[in-house]
Amino acid sequence: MATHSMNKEVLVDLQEKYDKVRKLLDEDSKRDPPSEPYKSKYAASVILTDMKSILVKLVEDSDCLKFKAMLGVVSLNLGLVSVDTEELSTGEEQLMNCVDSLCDDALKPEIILILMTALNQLGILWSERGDPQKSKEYLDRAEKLYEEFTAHLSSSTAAVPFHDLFRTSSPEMPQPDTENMLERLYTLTMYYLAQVHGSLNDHVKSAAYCHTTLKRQLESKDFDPVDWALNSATLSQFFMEKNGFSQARHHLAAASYILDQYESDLNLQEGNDETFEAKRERLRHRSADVARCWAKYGLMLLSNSRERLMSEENENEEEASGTSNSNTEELGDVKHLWFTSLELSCYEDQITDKHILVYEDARKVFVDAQKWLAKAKQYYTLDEHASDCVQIVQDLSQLYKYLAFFEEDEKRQSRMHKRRVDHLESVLKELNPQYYLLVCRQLWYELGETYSDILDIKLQRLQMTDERPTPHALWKVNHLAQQSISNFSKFIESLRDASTKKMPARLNEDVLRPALIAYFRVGRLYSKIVTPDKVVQLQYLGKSLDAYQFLVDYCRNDEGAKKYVSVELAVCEDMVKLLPLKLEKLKHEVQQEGQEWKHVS
Amino acid sequence: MATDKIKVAVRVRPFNRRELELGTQCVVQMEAQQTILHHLERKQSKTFAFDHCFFSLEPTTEKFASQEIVFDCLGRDILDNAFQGYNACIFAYGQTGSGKSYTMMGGQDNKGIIPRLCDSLFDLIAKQQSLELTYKVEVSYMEIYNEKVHDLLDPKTNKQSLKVREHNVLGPYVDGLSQLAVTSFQDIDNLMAEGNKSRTVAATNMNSESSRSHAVFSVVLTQTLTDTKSGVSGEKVSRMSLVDLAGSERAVKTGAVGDRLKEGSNINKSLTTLGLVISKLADQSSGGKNKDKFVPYRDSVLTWLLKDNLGGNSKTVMVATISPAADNYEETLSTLRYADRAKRIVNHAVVNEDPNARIIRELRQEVEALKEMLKNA
Repeated sequence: MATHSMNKEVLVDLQEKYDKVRKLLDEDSKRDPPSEPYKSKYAASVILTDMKSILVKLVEDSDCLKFKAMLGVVSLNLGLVSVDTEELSTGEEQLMNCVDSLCDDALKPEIILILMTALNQLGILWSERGDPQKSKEYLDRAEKLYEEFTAHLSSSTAAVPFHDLFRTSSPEMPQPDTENMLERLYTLTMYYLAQVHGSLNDHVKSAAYCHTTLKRQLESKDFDPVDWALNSATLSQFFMEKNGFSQARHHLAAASYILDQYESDLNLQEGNDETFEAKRERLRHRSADVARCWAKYGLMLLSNSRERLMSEENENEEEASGTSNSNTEELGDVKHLWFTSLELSCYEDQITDKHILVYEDARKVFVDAQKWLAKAKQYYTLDEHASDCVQIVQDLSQLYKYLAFFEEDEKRQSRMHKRRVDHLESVLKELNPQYYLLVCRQLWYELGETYSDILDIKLQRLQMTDERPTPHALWKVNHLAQQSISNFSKFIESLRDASTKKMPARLNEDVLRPALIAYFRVGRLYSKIVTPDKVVQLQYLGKSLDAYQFLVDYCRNDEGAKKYVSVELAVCEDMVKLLPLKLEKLKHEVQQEGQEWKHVS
Repeated sequence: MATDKIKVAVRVRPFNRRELELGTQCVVQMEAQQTILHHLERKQSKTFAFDHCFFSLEPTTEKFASQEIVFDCLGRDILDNAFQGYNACIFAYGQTGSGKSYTMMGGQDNKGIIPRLCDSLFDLIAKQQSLELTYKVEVSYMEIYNEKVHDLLDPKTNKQSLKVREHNVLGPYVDGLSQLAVTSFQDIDNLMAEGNKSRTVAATNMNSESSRSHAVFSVVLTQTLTDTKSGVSGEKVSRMSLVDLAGSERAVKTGAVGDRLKEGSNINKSLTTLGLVISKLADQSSGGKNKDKFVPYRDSVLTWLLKDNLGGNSKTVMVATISPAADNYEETLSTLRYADRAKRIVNHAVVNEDPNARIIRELRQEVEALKEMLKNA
């Protein structure tokens, strides 16, 4: 057996070597020249190999846990260096060595940090090799290890940091960055599992692990508030798409809470310098983004509610699926994703997380989302963020559209659609089509549809009454039809080739269906214009026919287009057969009338 | 002319002297619009399709793609677009030694895309200008590094970060970026050389994971047409942007070049990338349209650049350069994957239409009514 004094010398030597390794890896390697990028790492590797042979002997001789742990640290670091210097196979071998030699003592405080680090690294390694399943195995092991260790935790079993293993004398003061090393490792395990589940296409699990990562960041108080809030708000968008409205709202509320807290903190600080300004700017920017996420939440809630009501009508369901969301939510087992350390009720109470059934509730959601859009628009101004500003206006238009669905009074519905028109037209006229052509197209199209929606409401009302429509009412109908036609036409015109001024023989897949539908709608709209003058009627009927004809001709020339508009095509084919006959009839009437007039004069 | 997608071209360079001396194997094959990458040991090869595959390996072969051919395919359209008043953008991507500089700049006797573009530009101007039609050419040069924009042509301010803006009338621009008048390619060459001196040095350290510095050189063409009788003049302004994308080997492996172009399944080690992971998660649609949710931009500046050059009447081209050598297999594969991903970037500003079931029902009824009416006519 080695004497106490000889051991002490060996230990001091090991400590010095370890300190050297740390310096090489943590400091020197950052300054390695591009021509020798791994210089420090290779140097560290040499020392580590030396330490390894010393420790192997020590372990053989005494089987002491501390030596085993030290050997584990050395193997771990050899593995890390190998991975960093792109020798994955050697790295794997060393890391596996480390894990295998320590797994019998896994739950010991001297061992746990080493093992968790090694398992995390093996997770990364296998992921880099393109085997997420294998990666997940190691990360799952790390997760279980933590859970078992912390289940049996008592005050004396704090995990031992690496360099404490090598230290030969008492520390002067606790090293700050080794505190909570276990917690930090576990947070990384959670983060890596989030990514691996993403690679395995289990997105719900991935989101759950992202939530856990965020939660742990909160609890460790180790996070950048703006980043954290943005992440939480972004995650909410995932949840709401899965009908997890409670979870979505909760994550949005958390985001707002953290941002508000950060804003108060900033306000307490004094400063006018560039860094302070940059912080304020960043806060403004990302607050606007969180506001947009909130608005999308409201929109999705309204849109989902509408779909539910519409599908219930169609299926004639007997039980109105009450106010609970759980039957349509797709989050499965991982529902309980709450930031228990935050008090969020004042944020969450502002908007519901249940499906909407009646107008009053829809209106509350509308008002809330509208307020968030107004906030976002303060940052995303038209002259600095034109595209974003337009998107916000489009969201506002959608809000009105959904609100109109829940409104039963037709006059009020019309007014809501009219608000849409006002907002869309007012932003459209400010845009230069040279730079924003695609955006202008979207706006023209939506205006075409909106005017058409208002038209339909008016027509319906006219049909319901038995009285003759007033001239004003007819004028209104025609005006709406013309406006709708005008907007659809502008959309169509924008597709013309810039030099030849002709419609392209083949339309781009992205615009194919909208373009053909635009013709379809225009065809129908021309037939809605009311006029006593038969000559004018004839003109409009001709234009209607032309529009339907375009669709038919296009599909004849482009077989592939048929599948995009099969239903509309069938109707158009009928129309182009029948309308010419109607046209003939009308022409005949016009001629007869002309002759009658002749007789008179 | 209008397109929502990037046109992607790949070019393979000849063997260099060292490779020839070592007798290195060629692992790149090109057939029409396909590039095939062979692995010497494993039997499977990987095939990629691109809009253009420029085979510049061997000057004596028939299908050799010379500087002139590359320019004819990619540069002429861009110039035409500019004279019509529309914007264009060329992205150059390639790792050190893959021939990117040669393709973009070239040398005295074998000029690359940029000198040819500029020469043609000034030639056309000389031919077309008159009392009524005058031209002005200005250039700007900026660097995007760590989400910050620096003016490489203004020695006073190039440490400051400039703001990118989208004006509703003026379009996208960088606030405060200096624009200098030029009258020849020589002027342009001199300015680029000056600007290059100011590029961030740290960006070239291969070990730095955040070494993503992109340089954007823009040529702004202003055409003024004056009606001599009335004195009224109209202006057309177009911009050609040449983006040199950071192509460090590390950057490609960690996928650190814009979140839309992130490499597949590698784990990001640092929690600083949590935002990108969550964004990616939220982005992947579960059948819904992209407009139903809002995913905040992370790599905003580069994405903004890409976004604003797609769609409308802008032309966007990416040129990726690769080495033919077997020992560059990994880098070549990375580049090809990157270029492949670029193909799929589409401006998502597609029109969303409302369902028109009601209208169809109504029209069907009308068809029936018409049939009835004509039967009785």
